[in-house]
Amino acid sequence: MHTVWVRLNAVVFFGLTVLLGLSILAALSKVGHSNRYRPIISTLRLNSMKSLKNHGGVDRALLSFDLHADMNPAFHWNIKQLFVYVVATYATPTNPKNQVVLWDRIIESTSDRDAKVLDERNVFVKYGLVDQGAELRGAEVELSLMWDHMPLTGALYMGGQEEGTASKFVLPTEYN
Amino acid sequence: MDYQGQKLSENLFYYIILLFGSVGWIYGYILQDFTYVFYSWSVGVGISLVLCVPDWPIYNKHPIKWLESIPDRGDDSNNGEEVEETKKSK
Repeated sequence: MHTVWVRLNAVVFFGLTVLLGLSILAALSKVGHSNRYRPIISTLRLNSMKSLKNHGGVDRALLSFDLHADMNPAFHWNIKQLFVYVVATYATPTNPKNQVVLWDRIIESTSDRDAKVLDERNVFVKYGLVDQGAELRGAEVELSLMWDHMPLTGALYMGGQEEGTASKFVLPTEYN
Repeated sequence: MDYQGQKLSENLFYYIILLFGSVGWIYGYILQDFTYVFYSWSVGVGISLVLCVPDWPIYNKHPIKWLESIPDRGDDSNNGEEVEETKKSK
């Protein structure tokens, strides 16, 4: 503390340590928030099947879906943004559990309340439903919404539609 | 800056940063916006930098009292020769 540089060093790094402490407190203040406040997913279902084709031995299905979900409850002061994605889950004889991301959207916490309500009608998938093999025909697919909470500080944690509330549909039994 | 001044300066920035940080955190928590915490903390660090880093007169109110210097004994030139001799003998 005897020279300007030592004092400058002391003030700056004590300040940064305090900021770290405040950030940790902010992260701790919202532990368990996602258990108490859940987004309201009113609609997530298949709108129409576009195609089911085989490309070089790999099946690919293209479809559109309807989505209405109010993501506002997931936000709090330590959330920077949400990464929301639609997942298709299905079983094939080779793999008992397949999960494919069909669509995604980033919702920033700075956007207004309306922008945090996802309202999509007949929206085409961003990424095709591609199987590891050629086993999509006749498969029963479950569409569910999942999201990653991206915090300002602290650990990233996932959230998802509650079990048993996801809509299901069966893919065509023939390629079209 | 004397010893009392160093202690005062250190205590000052401790309490200023902690005060601004904690008040900002509570305010930010109530309004659910972490940017308020950051702004408040920044103000605290800014004030501390101005108040505690430069050597302000308030930190020099307790100058160190040194002992009186001991007067030299004997002749300067003689002393010099003696030192020379002892060095050579070693």
